[in-house]
Amino acid sequence: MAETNTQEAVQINLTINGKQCTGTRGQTILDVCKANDIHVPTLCHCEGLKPVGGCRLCIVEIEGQRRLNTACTTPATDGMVIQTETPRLHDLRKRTLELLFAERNHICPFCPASGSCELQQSGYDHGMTHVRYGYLLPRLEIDNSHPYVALDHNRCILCSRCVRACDQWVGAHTLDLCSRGSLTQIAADNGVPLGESSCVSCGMCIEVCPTGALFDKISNRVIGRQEVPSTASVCTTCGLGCWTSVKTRGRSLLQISSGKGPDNNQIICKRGRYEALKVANRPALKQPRLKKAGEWADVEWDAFAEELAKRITSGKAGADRSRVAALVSPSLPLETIAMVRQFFKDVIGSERIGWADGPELTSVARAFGMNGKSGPLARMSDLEDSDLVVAIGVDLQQAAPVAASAVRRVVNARTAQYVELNPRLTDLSVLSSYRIATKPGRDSVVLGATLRTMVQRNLIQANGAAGAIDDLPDTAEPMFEAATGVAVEQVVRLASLIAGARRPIFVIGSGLTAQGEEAVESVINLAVGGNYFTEDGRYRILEIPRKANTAGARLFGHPEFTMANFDFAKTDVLLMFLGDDEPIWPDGWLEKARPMVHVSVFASHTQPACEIAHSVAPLATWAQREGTFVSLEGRVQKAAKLLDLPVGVQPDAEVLAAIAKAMGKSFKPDVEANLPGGVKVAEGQFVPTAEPAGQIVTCKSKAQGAKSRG
Amino acid sequence: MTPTELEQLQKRAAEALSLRLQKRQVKSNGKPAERVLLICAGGACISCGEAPVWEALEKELVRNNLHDTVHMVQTGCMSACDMGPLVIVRPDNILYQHVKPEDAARIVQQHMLRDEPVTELMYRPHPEADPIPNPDEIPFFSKQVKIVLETCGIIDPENIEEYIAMEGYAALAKAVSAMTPQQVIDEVKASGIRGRGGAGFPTAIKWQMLHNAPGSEKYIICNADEGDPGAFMDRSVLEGDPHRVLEAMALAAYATGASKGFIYVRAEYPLAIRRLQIALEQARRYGLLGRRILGSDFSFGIEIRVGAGAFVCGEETALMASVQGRRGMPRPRPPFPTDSGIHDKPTSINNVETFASIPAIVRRGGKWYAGIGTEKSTGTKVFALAGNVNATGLVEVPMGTTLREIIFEIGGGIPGGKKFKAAQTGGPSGGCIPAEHLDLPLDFDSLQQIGSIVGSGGLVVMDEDSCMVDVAKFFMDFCVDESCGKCPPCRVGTKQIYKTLQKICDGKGSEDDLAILDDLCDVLRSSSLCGLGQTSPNPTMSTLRHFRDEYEAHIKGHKCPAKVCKQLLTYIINLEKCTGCSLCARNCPTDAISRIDGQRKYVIDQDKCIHCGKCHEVCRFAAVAIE
Repeated sequence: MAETNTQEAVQINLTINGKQCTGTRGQTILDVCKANDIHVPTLCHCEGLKPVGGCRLCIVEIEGQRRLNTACTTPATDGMVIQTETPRLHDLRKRTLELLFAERNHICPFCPASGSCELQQSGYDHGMTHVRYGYLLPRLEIDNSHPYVALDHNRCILCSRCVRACDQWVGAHTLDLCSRGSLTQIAADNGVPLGESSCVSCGMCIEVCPTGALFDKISNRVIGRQEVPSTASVCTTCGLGCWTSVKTRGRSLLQISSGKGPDNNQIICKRGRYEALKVANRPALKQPRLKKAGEWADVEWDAFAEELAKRITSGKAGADRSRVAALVSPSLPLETIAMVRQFFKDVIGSERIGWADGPELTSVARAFGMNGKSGPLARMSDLEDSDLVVAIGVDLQQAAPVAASAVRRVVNARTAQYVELNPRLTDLSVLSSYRIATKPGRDSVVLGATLRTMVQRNLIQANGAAGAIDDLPDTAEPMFEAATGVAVEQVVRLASLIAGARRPIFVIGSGLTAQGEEAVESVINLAVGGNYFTEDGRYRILEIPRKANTAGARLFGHPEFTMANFDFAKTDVLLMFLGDDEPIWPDGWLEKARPMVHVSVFASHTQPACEIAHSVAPLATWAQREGTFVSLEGRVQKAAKLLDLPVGVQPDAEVLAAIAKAMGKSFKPDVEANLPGGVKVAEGQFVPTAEPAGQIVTCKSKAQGAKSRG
Repeated sequence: MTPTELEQLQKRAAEALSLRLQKRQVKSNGKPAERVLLICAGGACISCGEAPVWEALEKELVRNNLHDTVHMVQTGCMSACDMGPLVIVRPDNILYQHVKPEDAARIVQQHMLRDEPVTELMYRPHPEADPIPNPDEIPFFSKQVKIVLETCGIIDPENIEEYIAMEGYAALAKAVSAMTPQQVIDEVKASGIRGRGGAGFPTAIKWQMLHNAPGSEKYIICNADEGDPGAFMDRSVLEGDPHRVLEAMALAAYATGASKGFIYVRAEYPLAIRRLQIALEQARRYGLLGRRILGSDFSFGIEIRVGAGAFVCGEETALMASVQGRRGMPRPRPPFPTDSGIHDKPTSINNVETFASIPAIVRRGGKWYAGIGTEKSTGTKVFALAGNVNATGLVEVPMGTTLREIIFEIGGGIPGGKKFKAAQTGGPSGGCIPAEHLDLPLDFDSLQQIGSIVGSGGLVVMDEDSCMVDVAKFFMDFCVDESCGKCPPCRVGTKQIYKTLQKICDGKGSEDDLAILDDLCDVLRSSSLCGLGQTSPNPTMSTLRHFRDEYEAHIKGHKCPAKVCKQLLTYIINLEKCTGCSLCARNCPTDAISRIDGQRKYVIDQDKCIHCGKCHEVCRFAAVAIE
């Protein structure tokens, strides 16, 4: 593993198998061999995991060394003379392989990994035709308790790749080794069945397993042994935008694996691997439907379009097109969103396009003054170098498991502490060195008081308008504890924890952002007041958005409304364009929508909204269309089209064109012109970032019109 | 405390100890003479009843109103373990062995009151020989040279002042007040001492590397995870003289720039742990550990880490993992601990016995130490002498002493007039040395040449009744259990070798199995990750090398020459001796023994016999013969 070093790379020269090779200091012999196209057999080595030198296959001869060394662990040094392929080495490797084959049940014809097994391949590579030692074959129980992962100890070679991935990548450390010698086994937690363990079901252990010991119960039976090509894509189950590698066959999605990235991220989570797969393969809407006399009837596209056109062009809506509104889900790709917006403006003639999402979509955009740009927010990589993670109103394991893993990693490595502000316990609460159960909706008061305490106790040099400090909430106020549920000492402790950190990062989620702009501002104030900025001038605040394209949706500018402030009275016809996931419906929202003249739902699956709708039209699932997504970091990424559309389902553009046609108009989508300007960067690049504010904002300063943001 | 204060304390303390150090006859002069009873409280003596002896003596002294005149001291191991419980009376310098509580009255009334030593309790080379009252004249003691065990068995390990009286901490005082760290390393270098843990790596080189390593955070570790079956020298040092190790660790820290130390001791040594805790607490209180030691700028603290009973944790990289609370598994080197150890910081790990040699080296000079032993293996080595030998226990001899001297002079030869067959050194990592090498000087290099190692110093003597295949199997069984499971050669290879040896012992071996054994031993030696795996084939390889005929006898002749492997034995009833009592038949688990028709004699059906040996065991007339 090449270490990322700020120092300049020092070149070293080695002789490997008589060939002159170059490498850089810090590389292992195996790194140098790989870079120079010299194959060294390995089993326990896995790119991205710390090498352990366990399997003994990568042993090499180094001139002047009495013993054989493992290429994966031995640092390469200048002038080394190495042999990687001598008859002696070949013979020892082959005998080690024979020992492995003799140890447990490695009878390939019955193994799910046959054909893609690294042990099997090594056997072939070494010309192993039979085993000369006696078979030990202990009968070990198969752990089939987990819904997604099966663990067959009989096929395990104890390379510890799963153990290391679970620890070093996922941070869960659910897996480890137990017992010793020939009795050694992989164990979950303290030897409980995997299904009852602390496993987060990310499935990374399966990905790294070189044999068939850990296998995917969902995908394994559908993949079979044929080589299936993979397509690179991005995950759309949350706003993180992890990269994926997807296997498909015909109209079904077989398997989703980690695409390793971006930012050196190695993992995907349970949602990205299994739930997205379930979504893509579950029964979908196949045909438009109309509700006639309370009964649903499948209709042709023309009939659907005509009915909808009739509702839009007649009645109050026909006279006043602003009575036609759209709610678009931020989990849809930018292209779909852009087309709907164009359709609404050009064809329907209504500007009322809002988001099928909670208030956080706007509160964050306004507080950070995004206005068509991406917020000056921290990125996932900033989490890794922080020394204090303050999670406010977010259950990371639920909201974004990959971000939870990043927190677990830094806490496990003892490079950072974890502090939580949440009314409820979360999956990460056990990691927290301090947690405060604020009353719901009171975070901004607690955070404001925390900043005030930090300044008043001289824990920090107040940055920005020091005068504004007096306008912040005060713990000395008589009702403070009663109002917030937080005692003064707790605020003081939180203040000293934050002030004691050099690089704190504030991770905020919908629990805070849904409280509105002011709540978000209280965190910004902390960052400004304590001068917590990244080196390139972004706030050390990481927002965990709820939807795949929340960050992309905000680029369309400040929207008028979300579901939270939707004006039912002003609407007769509502078109809802939903993604594969469900919006979080505000309390009673659907009931309030029921009396409308016409509600039309566009979705890939039957959703609760269909129940109150008058018409329903099928849309493609995430896997059936290509699309652009903007990650929480503002990175523009493309999700690939992985599957063909099923018969009966139309591409988004054609759906809209059909409605336009029924209205007697034509619709020619011009996605390019309707995409927000910011995303017109090369794929993988970041959209432009808004400038961070320089001073603390309080109610008073806002009232005085000294608004410095947005 | 300053070095001067330490010196004054030493003088005062030595005075208090003077009675114990004198060796002269004393006479009661009107009133009983002042004496001191040194009572061995080493592990062996405790387990054979030291505590009741102590109580009985104490009671007897009180009863005779002698408790102010005759002092009692509980010492560390006196090393002659099979003589226990041991009592040495000073200044008379008389040794009593196998003392029982009922002997207390005689010792007190006869010896303490009337100056007449109890001859019945004195050591005799054999039952008819004259007793030898003076331990210095007993060959077991007289042939030894004590550096590591210098004060073990003389001082009370729970009293720091007794260690100080014996010039304890003088080396540390000398170092911090008058030597530079480099000078300390140079002194150790001059001594030529090599690590006593097994590998024999020169200690000074290790320290020099740690000294030269960059950074200020460095660690010293004392490896007290003594796990070889039969070896107990480290335990005896920790139990009998814990301050010696603490002083040496402080010296190492001073020499190398380390500021923190760990003692990794196995949980199976509770007494050692307790005495270490007492010693640590005392040393801190006396300013000999902690901040600004002996008034200098040097600070050093030690923590105890208790191992959970894994042999592999004696391997330094596994030990470090365990110290840090992780699973005790070794990792490949490089990086070596002196570059990256505890918390990835430079670390030096030395064995208990190595440390225990250091204070004397710094105090008396490396040259003095180098004068003992051989040129390339200097100093002394403590062996744990065990097995078929008359005198067992700890034996400290100069390196280069021959096996013959240790076994036949110090150990008093083989009991029952049996023939010496082999000596096993180095435990599961070592090999078996046959009689032809009895005159081989025991040192690091010569042992390696004949396929064994000094190891930590286990020395098991075997007579003609030992089966060498069985011995190899025993040690391989140990390695199968103790392999950590990380690398396949060790995890699977040890098991494969064990199964092959088992097959041979069961008489089911073939000629191919010897080739398989050679082959497996080679994989283990060459491909294993750590020392445990690399050396685990040594017992098998050395017996294959020196006793191949025994293996062949098992395979080709289906015979175990030493009559150990039960599956290869044939039990036959000698009809002339058989009285027809039927005891054998009634005890046979497989009903293989039946009465011969018409006779009061019994016979064994060889097809049914499972070779359990029960018939041989129960027969009162020696009628069951083994062939």
